[in-house]
Amino acid sequence: MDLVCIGLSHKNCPVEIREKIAFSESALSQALVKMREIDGLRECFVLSTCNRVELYGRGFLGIEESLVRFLADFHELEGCAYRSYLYQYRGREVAEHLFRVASGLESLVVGENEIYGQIRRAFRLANELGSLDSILYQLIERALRAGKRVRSETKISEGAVSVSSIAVELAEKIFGKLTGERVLILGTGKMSELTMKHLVKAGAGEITVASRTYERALELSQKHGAKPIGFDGWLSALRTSDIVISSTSAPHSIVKFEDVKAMMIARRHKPLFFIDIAVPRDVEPRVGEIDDVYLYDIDDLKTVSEENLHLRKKEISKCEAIVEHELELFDQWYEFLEAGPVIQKLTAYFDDIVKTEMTKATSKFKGKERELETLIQKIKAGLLHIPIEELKESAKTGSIERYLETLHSLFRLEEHGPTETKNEKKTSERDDPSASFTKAHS
Amino acid sequence: MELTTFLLFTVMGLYFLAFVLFVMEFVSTERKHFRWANRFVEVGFLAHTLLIFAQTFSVSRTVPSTFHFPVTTLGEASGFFAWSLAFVYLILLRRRKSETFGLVLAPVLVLFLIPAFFPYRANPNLQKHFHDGYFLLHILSAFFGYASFALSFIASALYLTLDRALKRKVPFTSYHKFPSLEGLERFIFRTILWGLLLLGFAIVSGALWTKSAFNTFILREPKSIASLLTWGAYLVIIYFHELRQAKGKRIVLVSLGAFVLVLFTFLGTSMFQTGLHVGAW
Repeated sequence: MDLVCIGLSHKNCPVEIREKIAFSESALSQALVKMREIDGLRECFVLSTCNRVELYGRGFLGIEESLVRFLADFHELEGCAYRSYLYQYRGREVAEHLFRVASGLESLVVGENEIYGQIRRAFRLANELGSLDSILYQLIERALRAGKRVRSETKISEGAVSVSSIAVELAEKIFGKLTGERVLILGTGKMSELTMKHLVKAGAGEITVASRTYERALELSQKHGAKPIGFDGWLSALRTSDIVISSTSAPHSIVKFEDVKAMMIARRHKPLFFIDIAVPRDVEPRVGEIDDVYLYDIDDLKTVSEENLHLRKKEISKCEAIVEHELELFDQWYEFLEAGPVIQKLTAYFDDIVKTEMTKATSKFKGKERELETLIQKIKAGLLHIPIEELKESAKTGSIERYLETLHSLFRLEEHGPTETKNEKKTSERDDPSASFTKAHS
Repeated sequence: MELTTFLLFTVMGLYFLAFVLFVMEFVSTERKHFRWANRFVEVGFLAHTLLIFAQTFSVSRTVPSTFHFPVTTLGEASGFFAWSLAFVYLILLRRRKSETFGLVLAPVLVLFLIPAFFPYRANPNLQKHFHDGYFLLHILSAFFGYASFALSFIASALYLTLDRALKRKVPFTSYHKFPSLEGLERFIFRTILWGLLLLGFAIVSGALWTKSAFNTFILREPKSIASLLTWGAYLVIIYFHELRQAKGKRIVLVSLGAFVLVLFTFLGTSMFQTGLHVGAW
């Protein structure tokens, strides 16, 4: 396999380097266009996320260096110590790596789903720009298939692991599918903004933002269509809220047991969900003891996250078995590519014989040329069917070379048909090397 | 083997299989057994309906010119109650099915069928009233009413389990198949409302029947008084929930407590051994 991949990821590369090498969405198309100009590089694909940047392509040994140079030139990385973080894969390793990436096994949060969508978007873009042909196209498509299988056949993506998605999951356990529940934000920290965004996306309704600095409350409210209030108004806003996200920088708790207890009577014990992500905590821990009040602080959320991560990790071996199976299927497909030129030559061999005999017998079949042609094609398809099936089978067991040699010497195939190289052949047949045969006989 | 015994085994087997599938569904991450589990409850319910017909007609055939309704012994009444539970779950609450609910309901159905295997003494006083339409309506609506309250009890128990899990922050995976608290609350009060309507109908039809049979609107018997008390207690609960907007764990706990009255009305009053309701479970 002449597949190649260079890249760096969250595993060993600090974010300061990753952000220099990452391709923005607008730069990605430009990068793909420029990459295609690299001498000796057939097909190319770029995967750029906040956790990894990877360049994929096909080329002979040494093309890796050209890809590294391209990366440096494109991002003007002179003097940047990025080289030591780069990893390289070649041949089957590339397929294995991409399959694992698409399955979320190489992600920072094992089993996360975002990477699947990112690969799919990058794949679509590369395809639209014509950067993909037979091998890479198949590789990415099969990697996506592996990713899909892993997620549907195992529990690798189960259970939320980020603080914001855990908050949504818990809120849905209390209120059911969110349909307009009111959210109160205390403090305007980044984390509470993110959690609020997740809740709103899940269906939460009116949002009220209370901050000690009214301008910040106003700014956040304008950004998300929320209602800003002064900090002294939070207690009255609590009465009508269902979910409270708290992340102030207050040095002591601001939500007191007595206040909430009284509030719950006024609310007639309508459930109230507190997400306290502030350190030190904003909500007195005793608040969680009040009936119908559910209080989760940052440690509780982290515990849920760790439990879910632990469960995900237990699924890794199952995912790896799926990845291995998909890799085997890819190997078989790749092996069978070798048969492409031979099948074409074999078809040409039969065509030559038919042509010669047809020329001799033209006068005997006058007026019935079409029927004759159909009959000949049917016979030819019948004759070639078993050899092609056998070749496909031998590709699975890795013994295809022996069959190809035998076919060459039995039919002296060098004398027939086009003399395409393997690589040229690969770029002309995306899905199936027997396509030319099928096309000829359809 | 008699037809009724064969049907009894079939019904029990189907409900039990449904239970096994609900367990498999509960421990699995995907929703692959839920449909089949519900199918088994549905087919079990159909077979159960056949069983009730068979019980009705087998007695009516042996003693011509009598109509038998299978609620005269503890075994029959218990089986009929299981049928009513399945009916309310499948028909009245068809949109609110959930795997956790099925998981609790299926073994309850099996348990209530067990007494049907044992012989019990029948109440001879009941037989002669089966021809009275009001009496039949009274029995049917009372059973459906009790079934509704029983379902609300199951939902209340689930609510309190989930509330405890959320409070104690137990791993999410142990309750991820539970319906939400709000969903359970809706279910609890919907079934209570149905129960109120049906028990109310049972009380009215019972009064009309006693008027025609005994020239009085109310029999001064423990069961009649307990039924009125139960109905009143649930009416108060509904009043607080619907009109006073009382929500959450406390009102659920009250509804759970009210079920004690249902148990007393359904089973406990028979222990007094007085009046027409003796043996009428």
